[in-house]
Amino acid sequence: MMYDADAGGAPVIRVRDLGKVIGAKAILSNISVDVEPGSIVGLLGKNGAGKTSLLDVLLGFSPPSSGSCRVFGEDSFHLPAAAKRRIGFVPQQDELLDSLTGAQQLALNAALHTAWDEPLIARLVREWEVPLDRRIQVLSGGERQKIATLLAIGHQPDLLVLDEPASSLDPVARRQFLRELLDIAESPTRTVLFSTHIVSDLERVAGQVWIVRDGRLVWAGELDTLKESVARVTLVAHADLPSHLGLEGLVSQRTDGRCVQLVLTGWHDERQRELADRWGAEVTVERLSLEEIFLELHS
Amino acid sequence: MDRDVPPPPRIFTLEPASGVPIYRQLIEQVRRLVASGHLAPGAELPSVREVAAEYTVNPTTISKAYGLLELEGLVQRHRGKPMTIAPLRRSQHSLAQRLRQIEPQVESLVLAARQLDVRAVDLTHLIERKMQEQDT
Amino acid sequence: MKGVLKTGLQFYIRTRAQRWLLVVAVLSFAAELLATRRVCCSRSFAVGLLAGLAGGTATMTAVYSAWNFRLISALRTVSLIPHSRLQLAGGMLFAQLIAAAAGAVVVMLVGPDAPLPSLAWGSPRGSFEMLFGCALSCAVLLQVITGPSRIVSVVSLTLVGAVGLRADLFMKPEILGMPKAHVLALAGIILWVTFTAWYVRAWRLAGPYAAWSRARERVAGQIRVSREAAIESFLVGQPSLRRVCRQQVLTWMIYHLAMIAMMVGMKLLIVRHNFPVNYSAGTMILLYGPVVGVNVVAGCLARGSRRLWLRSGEARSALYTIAARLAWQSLALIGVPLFGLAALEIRFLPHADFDMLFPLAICVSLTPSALYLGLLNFRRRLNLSFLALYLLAAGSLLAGLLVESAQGRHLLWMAPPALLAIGCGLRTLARRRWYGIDWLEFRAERETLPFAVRRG
Repeated sequence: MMYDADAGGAPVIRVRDLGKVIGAKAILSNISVDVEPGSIVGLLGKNGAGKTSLLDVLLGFSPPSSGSCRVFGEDSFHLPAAAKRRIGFVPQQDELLDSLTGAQQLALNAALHTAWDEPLIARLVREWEVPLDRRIQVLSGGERQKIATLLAIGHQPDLLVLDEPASSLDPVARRQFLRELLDIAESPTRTVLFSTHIVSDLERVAGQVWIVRDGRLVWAGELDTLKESVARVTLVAHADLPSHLGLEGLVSQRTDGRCVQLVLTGWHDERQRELADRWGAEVTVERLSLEEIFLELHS
Repeated sequence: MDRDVPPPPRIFTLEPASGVPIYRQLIEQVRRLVASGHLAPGAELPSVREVAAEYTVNPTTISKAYGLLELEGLVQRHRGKPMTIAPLRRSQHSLAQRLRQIEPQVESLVLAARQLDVRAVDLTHLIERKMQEQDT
Repeated sequence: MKGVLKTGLQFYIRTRAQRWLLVVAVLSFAAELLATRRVCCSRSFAVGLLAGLAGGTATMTAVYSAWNFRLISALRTVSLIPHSRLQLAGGMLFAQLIAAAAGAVVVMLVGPDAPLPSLAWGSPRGSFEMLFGCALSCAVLLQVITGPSRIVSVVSLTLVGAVGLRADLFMKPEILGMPKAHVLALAGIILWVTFTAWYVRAWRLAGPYAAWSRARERVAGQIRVSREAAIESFLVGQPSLRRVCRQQVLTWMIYHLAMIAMMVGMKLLIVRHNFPVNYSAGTMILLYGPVVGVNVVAGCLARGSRRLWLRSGEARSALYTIAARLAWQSLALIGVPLFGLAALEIRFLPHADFDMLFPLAICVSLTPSALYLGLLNFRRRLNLSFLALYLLAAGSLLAGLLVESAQGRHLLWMAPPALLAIGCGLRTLARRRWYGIDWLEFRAERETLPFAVRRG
């Protein structure tokens, strides 16, 4: 399931057949997806799969080589100021100025945005214990990430894009951050798109999941649907099973004589009976966590 | 808006990292709590916001669960008040429906029995004995 | 041993840019030798230009190699390999042997025909030893110059500069009673041994950027908080443009004063010689300073552009206008004090034989090109615009030194307008580039740079 063709209600992000080529290498190919307002989208993929490149093209840092990408209805490469004001971005490598203190960095950011929420920032600085009086150069990675996050949410953006926002945070800080993210996304007009390796965070918080593999979108849809439609099925038959079972949606297969372990997509409960009848085997069905699904898709 | 007793917050056990989606876990747990009597008819459920904040999960999935439970008739929505368990109306659930609800557990029981080489006759005796124990 | 071989072979040809530079250096060196054979008078224009080209590209190759060497030496993973430092130092020696051998081969093939004593320049053995000694000394001194201590850097740079100016010392057949070739080779080896003794035992080596990005002790102080100031800070990467320009002016003034101090010292100590006749070498530094300075600042602006894309809301064209304006501001802030001081020196301390107005004109007209080359420099690597600027400056200066006829002098004064025209061309290029920047292209290099000298 890739996108609803014009389901009504303007999507925040609309991508059609996006492709990006650098040099001879196709970094992204054939990506088509929509993001509705109010959703929390998690982006999952191996290193080098194209997650950060996709975010770069979405936000207008880079022009697409083919296809189109629209944010708030505007072409992303030529985003007007009004659209950019509604976007907050936490990049993977933060763009903080090392010779300033945290407070100065926040002040500079506030000077560029008219709608700066001081009480919110003050509260988060207190809760997250962000040191504001030391130079950014001497702060640890986690503290820098916290400041970078504050810079992105201070102006109350309608679209919040985060690239590995919690990679350097300890579990307590991560939980606080997720809570804040949920708080932000509560409003139906605000959308969150974040890419992460920490799959457990995604499972908690994301409503939609995009899985990127080699520059293609292997899955773009609801997390619940993904979990329900993927199953690990073990067949134990009375006779040796052929190596090619001709099954739909086969992701991986491990055969061991009479016992076959399959991972299938497009699963629904009737298939269990079908398989049992067809091969005269005992069928056990197991559901997979997101991490296991991801591993199977990349095995 | 007066509440008799504030609902205990952690009556559910939600595992985001499970293969079962969160909303389904919630539905199953509410059903079981109702069936076991921990949640009596009229008992209040924590709001979507409270559950989402307590477990740090997406509120959309919680409200999906509550919506489906309401469709099933297990819970009732009240304007401006928290959701409550609907009064049990046995006639609402036909025998076939109730049997279908318990069928997954019966299947896993049958599978375990077959793996342990237990005959159907012995299994039925065990079930009957257990049900008699529950009644007393 | 494998490390020695590998380092030695790759010392001068590791990156593609280095290979190109080396090819140009070798070709121009050979061409210069050929031209010397044809023309009897060694002060012909062509010979001078080729010598400048060969020297310039060789210098750039050497600087590039020194940079890479420091980069690799500073890697922590390298220091974990047993005897890695020793192998690296050995590789450096080996590389100079190869380079000297290659140079001697070129000299043998293309050099003068007449028979020469075996240790003289032009003979195989003599060329080899001299090239080896010079190359090794240069390699070691460049390591010191690119080090983390600015004072040591400046002092050694002026030492090299001063000695380089006394190149006539190397024209004599004997130095200190020994044949020149032996002296040079010996000097190189002594320097190398001293260097290696320290290098192998140094606790931690700093990367080549260390001198420029050390943590300042003081906080930035008060910053203006307005939209323009915020845009400026994000673009420059520092609290304000003035701060950066001030640092540049200070650095070049220090180089200038150090050079003058060196020359005064030499004049006082070496009583027999009447060198230096005047202090125009110091003035040259002042003239070259703004060219490099504005290039560096414009490069910072280019690399800071990504920060402003979402934050400021400006379109790419508007970002270009802002960056260009700030770059010209920096040129004024750096150029006015340095060029002004140079002009004063030219007026009141003139060079006896040479009209210093010509270099002044050249450098002033070179600054727009430097500015726009800097604005085009989105990558973090050591950029080749330094080379282009250096070649242009050195070429024009050499030409100015060597041309004798009045007609030739008139032709020479076409150079400043030509440089301004190049600047205009670069402006169009920079504008076009900025109107369609694809920051994704430059991101990959940020991530693979071995030293993001940032995290505490």
